[in-house]
Amino acid sequence: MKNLLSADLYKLRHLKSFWVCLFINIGLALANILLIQYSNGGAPNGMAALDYFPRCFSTSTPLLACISVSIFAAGEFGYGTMKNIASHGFSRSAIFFSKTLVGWLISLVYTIGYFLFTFFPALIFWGMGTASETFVTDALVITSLQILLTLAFSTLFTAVAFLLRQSGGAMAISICIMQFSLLGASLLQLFLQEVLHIENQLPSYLISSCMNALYDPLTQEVIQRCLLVGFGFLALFLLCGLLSFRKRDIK
Amino acid sequence: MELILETRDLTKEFSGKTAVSHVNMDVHRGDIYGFIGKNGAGKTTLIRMAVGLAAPTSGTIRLMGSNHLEKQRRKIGTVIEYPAVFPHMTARENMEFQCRMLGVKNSKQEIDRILEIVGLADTGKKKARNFSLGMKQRLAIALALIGKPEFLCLDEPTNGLDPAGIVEVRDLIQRLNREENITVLISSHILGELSKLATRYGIIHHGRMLEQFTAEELEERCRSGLEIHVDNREKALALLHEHFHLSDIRPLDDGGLLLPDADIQPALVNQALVQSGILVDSLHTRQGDLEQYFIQVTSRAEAAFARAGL
Repeated sequence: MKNLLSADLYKLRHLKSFWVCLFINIGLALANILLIQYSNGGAPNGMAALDYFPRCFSTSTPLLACISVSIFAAGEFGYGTMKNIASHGFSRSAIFFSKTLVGWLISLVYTIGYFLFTFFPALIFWGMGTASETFVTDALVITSLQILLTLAFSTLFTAVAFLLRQSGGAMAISICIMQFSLLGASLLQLFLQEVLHIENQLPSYLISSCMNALYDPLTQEVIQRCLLVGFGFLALFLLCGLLSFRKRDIK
Repeated sequence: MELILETRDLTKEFSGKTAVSHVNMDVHRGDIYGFIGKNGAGKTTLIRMAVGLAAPTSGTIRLMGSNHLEKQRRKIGTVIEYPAVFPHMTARENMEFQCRMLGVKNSKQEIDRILEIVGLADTGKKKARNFSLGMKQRLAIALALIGKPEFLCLDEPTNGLDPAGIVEVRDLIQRLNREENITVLISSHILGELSKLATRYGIIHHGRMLEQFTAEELEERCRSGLEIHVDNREKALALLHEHFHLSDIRPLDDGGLLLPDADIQPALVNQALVQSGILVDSLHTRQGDLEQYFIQVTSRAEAAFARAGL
């Protein structure tokens, strides 16, 4: 497992799409702040950097992570190099976990990159501001939950890549899941409410909805929902990816 | 001699269709094992099962005399179907990835040594995507050599290569077998090439292993001459000795007789046999090479399968 991880990290270093997406991510972070600064004539509602903290995590980061993770994980099947790995007696679980861990690293780097290149320009433009009593705790909780949700997304991308074994297809399916899951969940919510008369808040239990919910002031309900959604989907995607990889032959 | 690969009753089914059926295969240490079969005969499927890329439906595999396949597979290098390399990396970077994966210490020396063996030492910063097919194939073999494997499984390693590339790969395999003591399993349907390399053969047809034999046995079986099949072999043998004064008539495993290369007219042999009341089932001139032998064995198997309704 340690050797596999070391090899995968070496491969990541040589993956052009990882670096391209990282630069796009940083560019988006800077563009976002510059747009706010120069189109609104300064921070919205007189915000300072600390007030802007929850918005330093972007929902566009998973999209870029999706591209990199799909190419990273599914590319092995396309190039046929997965045969070189699997034929050396490594367990399928070890191979899958190694790719998942590197996928997490990609998402983490993008999340931190976007955060740094949003927070520090905001600090320069709008100043630090004053921290509330609960700021440190809230910041830690928000950061942890955003990372958890990002990792859940990343696990989805890896699982889809292992399921489809083709970079382009994996990317397309993962993006569709990200973009259309809200629509699907809303339709299901409507069906459950109108036809079966079951009250539910299904769309709130999506990863992207939880990420958005963390932009607003924290409540206990939001924290619990984020934890449930984050860990739930992470475990589900891990299981799906692992089972599919273990059961199927490698071509 | 120690068996490097041993399969017993190995079977693989894909959605009800049998790709490999009850195959018993023995690859001995030191062999260059030529695995022969038409396209779709089951060669790749069997190799994929041996190296762990596909799970057998039933049957057993032993590697280097052991059932601990995951551990033993660390000692195997593989090239299956086409050269699997990262196109965006150089030869050296591809090798470095493999070294890290296998936990090879002193990777630089190991990479230099292997690149020298396969003749890719001076490819510099050229990315693998810009390599010729022959170079990619040699790089794939180089990757398979990392970690000092005892056993190389090469599935169609000369596919798509030009004649010069085929000779390069052939020389390389022979050198690895002789100088590095690596046992090689090589599947191919280019039989002319294979016969210049292999020390042992296995013929697979419609997923069934028809025969396994050594290069010496092949030489023996491929000896050219007049091959006859009759209803009474003993009587025919005595008659042929008496009439044609041939001392080297060889009984064949399938019940036939082989009259060595000599200036004998087949029509006269036929006449002599028939006049003595011996029924002649077949009589033909046999040409001696692997290709002919393969066709003969598979045709015989086709007929047997048809009779058995398979």
